[in-house]
Amino acid sequence: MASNKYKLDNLCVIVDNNNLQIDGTIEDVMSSYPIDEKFRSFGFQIINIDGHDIEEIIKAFEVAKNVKGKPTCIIAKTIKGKGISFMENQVGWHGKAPNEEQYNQAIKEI
Amino acid sequence: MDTNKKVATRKSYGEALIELGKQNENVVVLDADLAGATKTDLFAKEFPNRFFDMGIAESNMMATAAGFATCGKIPYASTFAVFAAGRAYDQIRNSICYPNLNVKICATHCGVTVGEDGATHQMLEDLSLMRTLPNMTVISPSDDTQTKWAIKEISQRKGPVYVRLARMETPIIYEENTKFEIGKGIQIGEGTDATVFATGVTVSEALKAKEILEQQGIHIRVIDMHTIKPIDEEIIIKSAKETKKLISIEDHNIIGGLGSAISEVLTEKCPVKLIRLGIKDTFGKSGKADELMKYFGITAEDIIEVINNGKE
Repeated sequence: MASNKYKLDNLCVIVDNNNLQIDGTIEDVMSSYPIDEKFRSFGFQIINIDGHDIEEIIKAFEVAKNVKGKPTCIIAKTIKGKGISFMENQVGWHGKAPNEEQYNQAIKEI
Repeated sequence: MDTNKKVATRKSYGEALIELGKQNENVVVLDADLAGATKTDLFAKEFPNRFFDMGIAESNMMATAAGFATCGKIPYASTFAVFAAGRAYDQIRNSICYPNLNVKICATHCGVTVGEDGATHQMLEDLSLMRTLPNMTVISPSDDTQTKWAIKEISQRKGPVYVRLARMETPIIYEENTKFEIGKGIQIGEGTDATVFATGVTVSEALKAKEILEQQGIHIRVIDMHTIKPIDEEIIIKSAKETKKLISIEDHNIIGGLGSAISEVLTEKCPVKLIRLGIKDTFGKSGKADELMKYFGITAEDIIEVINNGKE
């Protein structure tokens, strides 16, 4: 509300959307979807991207920089723990550190 | 004490902001859709470009104030105490106090003396919540003069400050331009029969009690504890040693406020009994401010009762 009222076009919000909350998936716990429509209704310019695609990220920042008179929200669709077989898209890895064995395995995989 | 001329400290705040705004161009003011009630509307009229109405979104107001502070501004953020210290506690804790940012939170409508608005709007635990936060300074001024001093003084003090302001009009206690010091209580009178520690709206009640008791040959002293944190240990210990009875009185829950802060000093440094007058762990009620003060036992008469009859 405030960033729209004050026309903060130098503000760029990035939502890292990995579809997981701490207790489960977004839909199972408490859905905040649709995220883009919510931000749009608050006056944001919306850009949906693949959060793992560097080119898309750079392009989105360029667009955001040139938006005038309103803030921008980049919604980056991501996969939590991407690239590590036993972590990928798993709810359990929100606030847990890997043990020695898991760490070595993860490093090998990425 | 001039009991003929009464001023609510929220009004003193609004007036002080204008003066401060003229002297310091870094001062900005934020409000949450209560500018008419907190009196920040006076500043808004004078300096429209330095006033930000953030709407009924107190958490965002505190976060925005924190942002202003990181850019070298001196933000004064205002709303009712129940919305400032209550609703936006998380932002005050994590976005203002933890990074030790230069934000001044000036909260009006504290205590049961809010009156008719009732329990939901009568903040009775803000001193408790605010003084437990590291880096925070907590000030609770007692009259017009002291409020105007405090508002100017805190602009020179780096770090977060919480100022507790009242809706009810109270007598002017101090002459214009009286000098105070943050962290130093004001001793009024030399009596040794009892000490009454008071803060905010209860200071004038304590002074009233002092006058009445004097006519009865009982001599007390009143300590105006305008700073709740850092608490003035020296003045507490001195009075504990010099006077026969210690009483605290506040328009706040007896848990966590002035009485608790004094008790913490006494138990460690000079263990004597303290009788705490205040709201006894209950919510407020709707009514006229003076009626509520009587109902909850925070008037001059309640002080006299404790001193004369030992009632607690």
